Amino acid sequence: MVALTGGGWIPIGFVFWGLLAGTASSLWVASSPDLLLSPALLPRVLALVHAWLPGFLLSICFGAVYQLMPVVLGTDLAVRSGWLWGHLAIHVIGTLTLVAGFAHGDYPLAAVGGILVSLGVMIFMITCETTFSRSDRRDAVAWTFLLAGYWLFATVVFGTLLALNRQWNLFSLPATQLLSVHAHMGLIGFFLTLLQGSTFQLVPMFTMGQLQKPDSIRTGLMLSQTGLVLLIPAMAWNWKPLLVAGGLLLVLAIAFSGNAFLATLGSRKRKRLEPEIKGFAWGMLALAATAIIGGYAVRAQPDLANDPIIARVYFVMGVALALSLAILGMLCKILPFLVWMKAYGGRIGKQKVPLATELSSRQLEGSWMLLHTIGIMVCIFAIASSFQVLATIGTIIFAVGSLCYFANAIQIALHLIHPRTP
Amino acid sequence: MTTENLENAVSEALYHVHDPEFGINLMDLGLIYGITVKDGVAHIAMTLTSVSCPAGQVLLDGVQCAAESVPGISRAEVALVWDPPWHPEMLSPSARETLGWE
Repeated sequence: MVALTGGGWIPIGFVFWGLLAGTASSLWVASSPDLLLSPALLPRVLALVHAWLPGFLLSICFGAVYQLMPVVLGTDLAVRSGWLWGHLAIHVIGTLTLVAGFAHGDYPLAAVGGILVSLGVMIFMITCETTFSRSDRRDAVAWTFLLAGYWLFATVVFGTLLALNRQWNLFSLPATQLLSVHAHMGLIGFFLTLLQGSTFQLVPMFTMGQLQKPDSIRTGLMLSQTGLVLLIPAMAWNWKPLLVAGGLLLVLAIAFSGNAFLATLGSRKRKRLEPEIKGFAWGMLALAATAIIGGYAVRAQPDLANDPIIARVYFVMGVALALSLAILGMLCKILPFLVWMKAYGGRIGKQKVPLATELSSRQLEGSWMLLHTIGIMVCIFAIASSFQVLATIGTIIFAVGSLCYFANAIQIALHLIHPRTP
Repeated sequence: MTTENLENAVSEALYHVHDPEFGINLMDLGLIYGITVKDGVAHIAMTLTSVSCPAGQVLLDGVQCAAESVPGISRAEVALVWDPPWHPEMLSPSARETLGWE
């Protein structure tokens, strides 16, 4: 059976909540650039990181997965839409509570937020699992949805335990090591795993290419999963040989997936690379650079979390540059398509309708990509040199880039209210 | 209008149904495999660039609407077929030029 799933309000809701959280976070860091140079365990830094990850990037990924998964797996989502609306509601309340809890140093409140986000993630995980079970597709791309769902659930449950640990000392291990485990479970287990699959659905779709090197995709996925399984105990107990082995497997995973990505991109029939795809490709390149920095950090200092400068460079490069560029770049393609489906999908064949690509502003997209990249690069130099003025400049450039992105998203969304008439 | 003229008119109408991502009409994309008209009913066989095309349903509906808008066509039946599978070689020269291919 083939699912021909249309765009829906639930993915749009998640995407816009994510964009609100991301824009607010960028304005926050621009107004307090000292956060960039502050210790990772500072409550306001934790609040900012959680506004950025579960609030911004995760919300966008939820929206993208709820839209993309039925298409990839060839079957409708195996849960009722009421559950997904419920997920959106508790995710919004949960992320707000989580961020407020951290911002005020109120860890029990952060744990309440974490529990709400975890409940939402449980709905997400069940949706991934039941939809996967219903589907016949069993290649690496299909598996990534299931694996990402499991890792995400493990991440949020562990994160909630960490917040409770502040109050009741559940674990005897150092907080920075546990924080590293939590961060890598989410960043690699969820975000990287998802990219290792969705890339090979989205890139051919938007470039009229064909999925290439499926063996490389499968090997990349297996290596990243094995690498992460090794990294978790290695980070928690600070075992250097296991840390090196896990890191090496991850570098190889990125190399294999990157090889398949380049081959798939090379098969495209739309020869001119659009800015969105370029943004995505830059993000993937930055991901490889992040893996190299991580490898260097492990070699120079096994306890990444205890070396604040390298840890911050690694984190900012991995999250604010690599993942954000890859996810936001692809969202530049997904959002106009989602909105087009709602605003114009029913009118095709009846009247002249604009193309999905005509809903967005090339100028705003280009400005975002340039300012985001320059801003984050300046921030990375600021961290490396511990130079406050540079951090101020970098975060302001970055925030202006975020505003460009948000303005473009609003311009696209306005088609839902005022569709263009022929 | 003769059957042949009606088939040509339906074909002409489908030149105005565009893929929302690439901006190329479905005829030039090579997605329309056959158009026949019998007793005022248009039978259209079409495919998609991939089984997981997210715009599939709206394209099918769009083809049906466009065909039914042709004077002399009372109804259109659109069949989604996968044999032969769509291949980029099916793109028309004009579509290839738009994409910058070749």
